[in-house]
Amino acid sequence: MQELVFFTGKGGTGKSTNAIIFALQEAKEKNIFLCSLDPAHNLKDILQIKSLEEINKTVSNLDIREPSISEILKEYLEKMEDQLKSSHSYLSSFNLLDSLGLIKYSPGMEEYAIFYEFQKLFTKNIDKKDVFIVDMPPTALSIRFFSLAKLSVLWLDKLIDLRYRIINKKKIIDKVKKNISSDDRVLSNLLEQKQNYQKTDKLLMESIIHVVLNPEPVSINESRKLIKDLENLGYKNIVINVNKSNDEYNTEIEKLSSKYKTIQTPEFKKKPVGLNLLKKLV
Amino acid sequence: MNIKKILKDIDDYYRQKATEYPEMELGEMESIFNILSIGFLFGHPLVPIHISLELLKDIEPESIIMSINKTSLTSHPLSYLFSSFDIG
Repeated sequence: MQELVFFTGKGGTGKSTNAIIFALQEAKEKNIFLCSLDPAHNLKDILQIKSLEEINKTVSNLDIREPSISEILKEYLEKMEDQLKSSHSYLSSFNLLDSLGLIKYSPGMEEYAIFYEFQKLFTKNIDKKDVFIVDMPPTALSIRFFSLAKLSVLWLDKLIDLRYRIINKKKIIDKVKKNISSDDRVLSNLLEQKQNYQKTDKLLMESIIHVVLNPEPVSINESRKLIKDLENLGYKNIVINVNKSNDEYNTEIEKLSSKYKTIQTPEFKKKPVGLNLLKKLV
Repeated sequence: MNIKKILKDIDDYYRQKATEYPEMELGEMESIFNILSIGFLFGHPLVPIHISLELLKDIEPESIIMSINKTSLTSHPLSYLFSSFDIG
């Protein structure tokens, strides 16, 4: 796997269209995987095709996926339920397994579903593709995705610290009572989770993030906040993608993009939809 | 009279006595850990839920039941502490 590229930004700025154009461009010479992790994904609408299999067959070197976030959550919670049923059968008597159905509405689950699917798809394609392109949801959900790994590591560090204190206390008690200490499964679980999130965080830090904006005040302001949030999280490889560029707001855009590479895409006379037109643009 | 058995019983008694308070402390630490890590089960969602869900399968069932019972005592912490230390 050579490159990991994200397309993010305010809703309606042309993230998906730019992601498709980038994918078609790169597919001329490289093996490309494009997926949309936007719950309101619209790759099929932009390409004007009924199924993604059509494009996967007609454009060589390009594999496109549009996973359903609600299906991902359902699959994840079913997996959790199976694991819990086998190890904690008593939970059914507390009706706790029924609560899992409500968990999909809990804060944090939507961005976790996107993160989980991203990890799954990336791991599956890591050896087969040269470029992995992700069409992201709009700003708010994107930022929660980009910060998830780092925040998880912070929480896990605190839990691991507390767990070590518990283990040390247990060891003292076991020594006095001459009991045999056993391995702590909870600590192993926490350390495994931490390792997983650290690995993905490192991968995300090395990725290229295209911030797509339009030359108008609301889009520029939202992009400014998004870039600041990404910088605070430690992301450095940011590309400013000005979609439908014109001569307006040049000063504001220049201030925004002073540190980063900028790509200007003019507004097309004809709306860029349909596979054939998009191929011509490329 | 089996002197060895008597000495062993005395030894076991004092080992049990010596670990009474540390075991009580350990119980409290486990409860705090459970409430922090899987608190969403007891109405105290604290850590991100994806961490809690992954952790749930490895937490001992008895420990979870103890924590569920403990949360009902949160409104009477002093009375619980007093009874633990045998005060009053």
